[in-house]
Amino acid sequence: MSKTSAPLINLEDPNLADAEMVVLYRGVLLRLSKERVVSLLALEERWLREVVAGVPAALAAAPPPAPRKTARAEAQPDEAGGKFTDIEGDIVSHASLSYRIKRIYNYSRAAQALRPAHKNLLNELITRFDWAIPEHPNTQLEFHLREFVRWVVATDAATAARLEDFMNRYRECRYQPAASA
Amino acid sequence: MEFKPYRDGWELSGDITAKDAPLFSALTAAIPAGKPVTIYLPHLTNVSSSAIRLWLGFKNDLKARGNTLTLAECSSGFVDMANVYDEIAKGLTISSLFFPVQCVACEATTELLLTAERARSGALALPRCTACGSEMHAFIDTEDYFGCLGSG
Repeated sequence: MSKTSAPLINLEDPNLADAEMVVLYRGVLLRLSKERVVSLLALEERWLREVVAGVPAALAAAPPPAPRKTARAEAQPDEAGGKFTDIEGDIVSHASLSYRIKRIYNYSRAAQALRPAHKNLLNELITRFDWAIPEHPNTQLEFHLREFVRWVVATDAATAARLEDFMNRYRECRYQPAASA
Repeated sequence: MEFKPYRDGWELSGDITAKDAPLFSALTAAIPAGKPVTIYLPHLTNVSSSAIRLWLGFKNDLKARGNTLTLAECSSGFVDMANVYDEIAKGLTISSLFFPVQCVACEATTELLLTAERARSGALALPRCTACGSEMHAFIDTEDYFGCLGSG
């Protein structure tokens, strides 16, 4: 284990009640309140627990996700005709979700921040997501979601945690062998 | 969601959710057929993804009744959704919309009401921050944000 010369900080020290700290978090230098640092530490602690346990807590707590895989690559949504499952049905297909996420990413990357309406939208879409993940989804969905988490993690821990939970479950479903295999 | 008569048309406010079907039916019935209608959206906070069907149905119903729909004073929340779902603003006119800007120094945000013509022209003339007097800047790419306006 490497040693560090940095002094230990007692976050329960009452003298730190209104303190702001500069921290390097996931490669990003941030100035944060003590409360935000504590919430990020809690987030990391939960993530480490999940890594150690080998299964995301959200996945373990959720009903069986039926991580079936389709045999063929997903069809792209019909952009011209507006045939999106997220508009017309209650379930959001992988193609629809990745398309909306791509739109939000392109819209938000200049500011590197998610608009409140898009946070709501992401929450709704991942809640309605159809876990029938194509075998070879040709999307950058995971990259875009990771970027979203990076953008919001310092300012909106709840959204970051929700997206991380979804990504964990997504990876479990996408990369584990199909149940029927 | 709520709606009420406003200026020369109607105002929709709050969140549009999947439960608002009866309100859209009532609003459609209240709008005289065959006439132009303006819907004001300054206080529309959100459009749920599951309510987009309702919005598209509302648009189609008005079109079928011969109404020409114009949206005015569109909130940034509505614009944000319209820029992810092209169908929301397709086939109608947006005459004005709110545009969020941020102070470069204190990061205070405010929203400017712009006509569609002004937005398309790119001549935005951003004001000074009312809190600290510093310059304001557009933190959302204007090309993306005004994409819902189309080419006019």
